[in-house]
Amino acid sequence: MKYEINTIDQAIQIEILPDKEKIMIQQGKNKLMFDAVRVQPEMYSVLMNNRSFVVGVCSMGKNRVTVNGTPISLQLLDAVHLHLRELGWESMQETKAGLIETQIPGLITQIFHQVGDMVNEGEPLFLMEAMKMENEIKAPLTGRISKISVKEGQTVDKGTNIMEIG
Amino acid sequence: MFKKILVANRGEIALRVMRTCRELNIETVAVFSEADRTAPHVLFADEAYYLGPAPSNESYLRHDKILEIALQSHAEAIHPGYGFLSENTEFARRVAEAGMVFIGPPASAIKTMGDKTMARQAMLQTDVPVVPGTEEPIDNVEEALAVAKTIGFPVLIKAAGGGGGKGMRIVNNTQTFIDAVGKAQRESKSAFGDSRVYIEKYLEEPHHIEFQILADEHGNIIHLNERECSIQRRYQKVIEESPSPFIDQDLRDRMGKAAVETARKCDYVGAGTVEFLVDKHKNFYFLEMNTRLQVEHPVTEMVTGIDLVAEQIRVASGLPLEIKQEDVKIYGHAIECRIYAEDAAQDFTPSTGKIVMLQIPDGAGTRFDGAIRQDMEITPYYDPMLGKLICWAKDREGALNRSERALREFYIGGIETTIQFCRAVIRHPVFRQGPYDTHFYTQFQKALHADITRATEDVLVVAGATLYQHKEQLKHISESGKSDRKGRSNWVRAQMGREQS
Repeated sequence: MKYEINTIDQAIQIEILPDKEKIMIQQGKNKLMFDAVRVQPEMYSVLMNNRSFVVGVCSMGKNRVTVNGTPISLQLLDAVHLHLRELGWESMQETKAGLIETQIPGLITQIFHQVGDMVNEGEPLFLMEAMKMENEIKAPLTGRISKISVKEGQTVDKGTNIMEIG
Repeated sequence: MFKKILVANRGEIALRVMRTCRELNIETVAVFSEADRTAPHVLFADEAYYLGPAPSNESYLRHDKILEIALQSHAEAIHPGYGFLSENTEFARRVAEAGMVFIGPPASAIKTMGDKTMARQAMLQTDVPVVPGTEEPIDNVEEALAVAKTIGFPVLIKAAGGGGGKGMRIVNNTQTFIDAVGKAQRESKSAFGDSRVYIEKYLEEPHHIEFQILADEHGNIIHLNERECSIQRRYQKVIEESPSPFIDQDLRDRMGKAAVETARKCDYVGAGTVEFLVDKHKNFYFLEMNTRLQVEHPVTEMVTGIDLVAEQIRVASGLPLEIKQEDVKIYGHAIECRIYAEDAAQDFTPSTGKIVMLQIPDGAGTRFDGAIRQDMEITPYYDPMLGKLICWAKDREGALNRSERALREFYIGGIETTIQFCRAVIRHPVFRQGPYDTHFYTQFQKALHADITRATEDVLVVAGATLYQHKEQLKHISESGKSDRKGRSNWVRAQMGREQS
């Protein structure tokens, strides 16, 4: 099956051919013998043409793996997605738009905007205190604030919806 | 020597102190909050006592509780570590009143050096240079100009009520000075309702260099050379090394002498650190003195072979220093990388969660001072530092190579950490070549963050194919109906839930 590995600035096409327990990868003219063995629940030992890599898959929820320590955010598009894209269905990936959620639990100390305000990408939205530090949360995109779900002084859990842009 | 010591702290520093205690055959008493019942320092200690709920003001900052436990457990001394109660004069005084020893300087030294204005006043009476500038805020432009001319351009104009860079300006000459003061005054007036400003010498390409000192009750004071701490972000140190690639032996001797003089001025006893700013012309100025053990103390230990905690304990028990200034030598080179639970890509916001994977580097010259283990929860209650990786080698190049090697081995899964950020700094050509100054991070921020995720085509193929295989395996497991939840992280579980819905 054909796949495309997408990162923020690169795209590589490969063909994955299961071959008994191992996998054969065709990348352009190159044939690569790929052997991944799980050594811990979230860690693989990979031998690709006998070159050794250690791959961590802990952050799969974020579509991220680490290869010899280097974090790589990627998307693996299979033939179906690639075909849809050819037909003009650009990107099947969900666009998260302007939903701002907390990554950590903490205390909302200050909110700089009101519903209806226009904000530019990178503009501070609110201050949150967590782990003894004040963190300024910035707008991920330019747009109008359509919803604010918390109040100043409110304690929030990880994953709380704070506000929405657009 | 003491027989039993209570360590009024948690995390890596509590463990660090207790390790030396055990080597000295001293019994250890740990204290812990509700969140820390199974924390590494509790497991390590000989005795452990519950303090209170997780927030530090209800646990690790409770003077009364800690004193009560110390008395109950018959501890003879209390080691405060760093942070929490380490620079609290009131606590130091109460420990002494209760008939125990506070392992740290006398309360008077903490008081003098803890207050920036008091410390500056004290230092002005010595030969140690302080950053030239106005003592009192100025309202009059002409007067300000006269000051600027005396100290020499470039100067920094700071708002009296200010902070956080508001109302702050760098001025290079007389022509632009008056205009700049006016602007700073207006800004300051509208922001803080105070139009007065301070004039201070602006240090070009400043280096943050500190000296470790040791002093006993018998008037002996020595310094253990410097630590270069110019790699900072948000005014917080990330990487430190000793010796500094910037200073030479002559400057080292002069700064060391100034550090000893600073300690003498405040009748210091114990381990302390005198911080200096050094400009590109190698002029140095007193910044502040930290009256405790520093986070980065291991780099000094690695290059001097001296156990600073052991010295603190010896001095606190009244013994004289055994080491003389001429015995202090620098052996090789050491670099420390601080590993924080933070997301470097998101402006270093703290990251909490469970450590689902942990691989700590080891091998020659590799020291890890930490307090983490697999399946441990990183809570939002305390400092996000997970530990420190200290690498030693016979020279700087060796220490750089060793640090990079160890950082590549280092793997913490489930939370975000600064491991890869440190690796990017270590391999940056400017850092490798040295010297570098405190502007390093802001100057090379972009390149550093780009370097973290830089990958060759091979690596991307490996990433993609492993992801494929991992997903296939998960699919296989869920299809066959076997429950494999035990060994899987919350992240993977969350992702599976998302895929199913």
